[in-house]
Amino acid sequence: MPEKKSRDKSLIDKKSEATAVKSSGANENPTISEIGSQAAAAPKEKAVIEIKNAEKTFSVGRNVINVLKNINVTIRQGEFIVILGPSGSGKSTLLNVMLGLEPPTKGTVAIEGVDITHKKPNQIAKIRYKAYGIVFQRPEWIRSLSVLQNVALPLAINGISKNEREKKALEKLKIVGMDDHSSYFPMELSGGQQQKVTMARALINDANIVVADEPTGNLDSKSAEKMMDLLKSLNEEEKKTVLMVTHNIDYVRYASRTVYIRDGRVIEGSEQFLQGM
Amino acid sequence: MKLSYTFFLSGSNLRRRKLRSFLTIGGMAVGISLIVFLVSIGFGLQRLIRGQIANVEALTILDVSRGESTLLELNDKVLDEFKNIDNVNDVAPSLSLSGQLAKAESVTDAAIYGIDPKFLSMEGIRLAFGDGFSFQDAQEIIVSATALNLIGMANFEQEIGSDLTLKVLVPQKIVGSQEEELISKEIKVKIVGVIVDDSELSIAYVPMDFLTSLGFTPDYSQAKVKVSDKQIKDYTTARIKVEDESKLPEVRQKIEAMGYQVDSVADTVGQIDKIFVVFEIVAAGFGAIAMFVAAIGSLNTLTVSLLERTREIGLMKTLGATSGDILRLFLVESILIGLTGGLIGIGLGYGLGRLVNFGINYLANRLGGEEVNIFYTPLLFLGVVLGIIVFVSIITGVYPARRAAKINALDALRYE
Repeated sequence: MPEKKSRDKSLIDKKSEATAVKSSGANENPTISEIGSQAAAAPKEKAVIEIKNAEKTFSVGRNVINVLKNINVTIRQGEFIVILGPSGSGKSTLLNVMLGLEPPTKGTVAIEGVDITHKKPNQIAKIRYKAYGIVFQRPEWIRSLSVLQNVALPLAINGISKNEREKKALEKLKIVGMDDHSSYFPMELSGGQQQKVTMARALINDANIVVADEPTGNLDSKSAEKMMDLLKSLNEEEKKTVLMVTHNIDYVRYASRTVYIRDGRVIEGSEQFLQGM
Repeated sequence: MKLSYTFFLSGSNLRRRKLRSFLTIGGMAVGISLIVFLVSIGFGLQRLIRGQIANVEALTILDVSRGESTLLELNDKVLDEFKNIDNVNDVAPSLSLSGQLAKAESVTDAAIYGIDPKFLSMEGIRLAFGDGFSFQDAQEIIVSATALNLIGMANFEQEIGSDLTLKVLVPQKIVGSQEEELISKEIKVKIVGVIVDDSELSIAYVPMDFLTSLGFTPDYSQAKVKVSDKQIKDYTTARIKVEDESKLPEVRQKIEAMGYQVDSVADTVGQIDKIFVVFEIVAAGFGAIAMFVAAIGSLNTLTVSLLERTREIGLMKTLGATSGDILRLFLVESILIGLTGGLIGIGLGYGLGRLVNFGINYLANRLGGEEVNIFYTPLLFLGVVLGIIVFVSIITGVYPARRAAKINALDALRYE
């Protein structure tokens, strides 16, 4: 195992150097440990997501599995957060708790100042619609609807008129460069194109936070790079808070802060995290 | 989610699975068309037979007689009592006697009825030729085609206005006594109407006042009581017919309480109606079985659709859809399947009925028969059918819709 550790670490260093060229932040060439500690140096913007003392347990037969253990995470306006962890570490569960798709067994979750811990699923659905734009790992579609109608779906669900939602959907498709595919059905598009359309849908409700769960998981390296650039530009130009879950350490270079998670715990600092890899 | 968008989304999903939607809607259409076709035949036959027995006005008429009683009287005083009963419009007495009709050398026996000319329609007399009596005690006669045939006057239309001889036994008081004797009298009468009757009876009608002028006393053998409804202005509409008929039992009860025997065409029609209600229920039962099978097909389609679209449900819930939105989506889909199938089924059933009717009438024309309409679809029945379709659709849709609404968004997104 020591060999693996050193290989991963060298990869991170290389990627960190590459990121330094693109990053316009104060630190021109941050190492992974520096990226991990950027939060301390960042100005105190308002908290958009706050998780306090959260735990999540699942019962499988007689076994009780602690997936999240005493999690305390605060995400602030304008951050680009990467939640990094190996498979089975609990990062997707943490994301689901943040999205309100799964309630914590213990602790509290607040989205843009609203405590959703004890709210009903229908109420959380409306809060989620207002706060988040979501990019799934695997593109999800209403298959009977065209690309344009799928992008407009969140607005349609929430009662926005047809003209308004389709006009807006076309604008968002233009941003991701897919406006010429608006009349296609999603299944007629390639994986990369589908993910771009998903991104347009995530932007349609002008939500403050863009959440991406392994958004590059099914893409080739070129498409993945474009997707990450898009997320980065949303963060820097549109001032969106970006929250991305990945197990790919390469993407840490895009983050303003990285939340490391292993065995259901948030690990303080990258060095400590990497020791476990 | 707006209801219009729910309809749009349901419709787009049905359009995407064209073959499956076609088969499910087709199944529903077959079930509904069977119900419409069979029950409409029931209604058609019922209407046809009712029409053969009585006209609409005859259904409002009660025949009152003394029955077996020798104590009861049926005279003008009693008729006035009948007139005073609520909802009674008119009372028309009638007299029956036996007599003979003669033209030249030909003679035939006939039943002669004395009636009030004002109440021609109350007698159920429908003239095939002629205009009826010209005044109250006119020396005129309406004769059945059978009677005219028997005395060699077969060309009915031309016989209107011609004379024939009526022979009756007229009661006449014996001079110096209170008793009466019957004297045969021959009177020339003018034919003012011909009735064509399937019963082929030799009968004739003359004005009541004409008979009393001959010496008959108004001790009537029978009286006809017409039941009215003050709201009724026009007897030609079916609706009024029903309201009118509904007054019949009440009046009938009152007259029977007075001891008189009451008969009505409505009795026969009531029996026919009962038979046809059974027929219609059985026909609807067969159709309902077909519809039940179609409803199971629809349930199956919706359940399969639910499984296929589990991830879509997860997506919608993640993007802000409530459980109610998802419930409505599946219910609307079920109603769309039902209503589309139902409307096509109604069209098919109606069309098939018209086609069968056309075929029967074509054959009837070829064989020299009369055109009939054995197929009748009341609008109210179609309304009831549509109501049942919506009800069945909701029942069918409830299970998959509730199941879809309850799905956890995250579980749905993980569903493979």
